[in-house]
Amino acid sequence: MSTLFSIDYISSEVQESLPKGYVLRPLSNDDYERGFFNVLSKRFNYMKARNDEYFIIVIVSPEDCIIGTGTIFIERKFIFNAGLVGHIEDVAIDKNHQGKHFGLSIIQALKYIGVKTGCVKAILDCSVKNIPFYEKCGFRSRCHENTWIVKPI
Amino acid sequence: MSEYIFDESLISTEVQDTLSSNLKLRPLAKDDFDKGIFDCLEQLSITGDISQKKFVERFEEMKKAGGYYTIAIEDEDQGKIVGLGTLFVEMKFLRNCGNAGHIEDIVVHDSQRGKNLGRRIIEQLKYLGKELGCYKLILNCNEKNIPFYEKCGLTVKDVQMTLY
Repeated sequence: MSTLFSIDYISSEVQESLPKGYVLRPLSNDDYERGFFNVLSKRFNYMKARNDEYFIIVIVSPEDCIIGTGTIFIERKFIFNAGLVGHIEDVAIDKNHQGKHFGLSIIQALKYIGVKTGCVKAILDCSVKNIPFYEKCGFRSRCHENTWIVKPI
Repeated sequence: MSEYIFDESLISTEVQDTLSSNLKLRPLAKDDFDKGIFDCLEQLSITGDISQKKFVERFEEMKKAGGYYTIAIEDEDQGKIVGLGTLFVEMKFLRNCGNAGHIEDIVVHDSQRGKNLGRRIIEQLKYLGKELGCYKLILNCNEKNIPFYEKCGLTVKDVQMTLY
């Protein structure tokens, strides 16, 4: 098994908070067998070559199935004193495992990576109905500026 | 000729043709520190005190990593950058290993506002997004800028959440 990035970036605190038998770890190249669907090795290898940028994590159940995932990719900037911004993307928990704080664990694990890589901030986009969940995770919508996401039709 | 952050063949001649003759649309260049890039960026956000060495270091990291398509509009009469924008291409597993284009750090120097340069920057980034196979382009903006981005063909969706 080859992992996308070093397990040094995995928060032991978050791992310890998971129910017994559940494992938090980086994406690995044989995860398609665990139901991560069509992991193409070329894309995995592209990201692994850039594993200071792409951090994809999974939570694996005691039955060795992936039940949750999340990504933080680290964008380099010239602004913010040549700083780094963490973009949180593609957070998903299997519906049979929802409502059990796995989503919170994924976000906490991604925040840990953001801090460890030295990001100035972490940002994510979400629908209005998910705002309360992300507020519980410590995120704020920038109400005084009312930032929005826009995308082409 | 200075080294560019991406290949110049990805610059849209159609967009270049809309600009006045003294303005050149091109990729970010390694020697742009001397062309007032930070005077431009300071109008967008906090830049801090970046040395030329740090600028070149960051430029090289971005070029090596790939995925950073920063464009500049240079006023060739003054030798100064008057506009900037970046498309960062994020590789995904979703969407059949699709690419998502993140539009970032759009700024036009206040000496050149009201001349549609912002619009041209977005048009160039949309062109890049299409050439690079992005299934979507996304960006975050203040509420007051929504009408501008709607004119560029984008629509409002979702909310940005931030953690400092």
